[in-house]
Amino acid sequence: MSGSLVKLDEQIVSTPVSSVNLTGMTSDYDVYVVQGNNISLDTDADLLCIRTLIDGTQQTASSYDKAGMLLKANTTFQDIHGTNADFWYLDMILGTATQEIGNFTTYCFNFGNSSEYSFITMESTFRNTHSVLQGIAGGGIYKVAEAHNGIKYYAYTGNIDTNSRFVLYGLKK
Amino acid sequence: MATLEELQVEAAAEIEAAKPLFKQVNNERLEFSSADYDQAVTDLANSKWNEQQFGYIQARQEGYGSIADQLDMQYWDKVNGTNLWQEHIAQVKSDNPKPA
Repeated sequence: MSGSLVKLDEQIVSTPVSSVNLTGMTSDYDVYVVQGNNISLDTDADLLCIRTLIDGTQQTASSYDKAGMLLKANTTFQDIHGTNADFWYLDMILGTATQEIGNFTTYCFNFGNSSEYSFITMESTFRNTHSVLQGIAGGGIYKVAEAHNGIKYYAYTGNIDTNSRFVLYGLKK
Repeated sequence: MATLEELQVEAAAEIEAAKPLFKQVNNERLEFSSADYDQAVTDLANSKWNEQQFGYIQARQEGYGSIADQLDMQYWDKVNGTNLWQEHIAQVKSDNPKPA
């Protein structure tokens, strides 16, 4: 049925790893969705980062732009933006205390299209490294016209911890 | 203040010491390829550089009171002839200095 989500890949971290690669994106779907649940990192004040993949190889051109709003429970919201980085990061800064975990949804557009830029939107909620409840609504674009058949989530400096769960869905045309 | 080249050497030593590093692909835990290790060194060096050069910006943003609190400080400064707001801003700046 059009509009259904088709589960393509699920990865649950059983032993800490630096990165999790989700693959299997093709032109079969126009839109992919990645759900992250129970995301935790093993290094304090570390950051969850994202890169596109081509056949398992991470793309590192300085062509990742992002913009969004960091929603802070304890103070004024913060505009976040950046251009020409070599990865996307949407300011999900986690710590190592028990409750400092995150959940997110990433929508991936044009990943299977070699003549368009790939872009994502991301919404998340998390307790940050100071145990403050925060959220992010934003997105990013990778300014290289090429097809990507995967997406990589990785910790900026440490590891993604045990029981972090990543699920890739295709949105049926 | 370290140069980027010095930080790259530092990063290479740290990655070497941290080996083996792993990635998860198709629910398999695989050791990094040599290209992954090279990229990890680059990423770590860049993160050190960014922290050194720009870390104070984030630290200051987290250190400043909310706009509402700052406006409240300014109101009471006006009423009481105190200097709380300016002292607050100066303290956050001096606690998180801009790199020379």
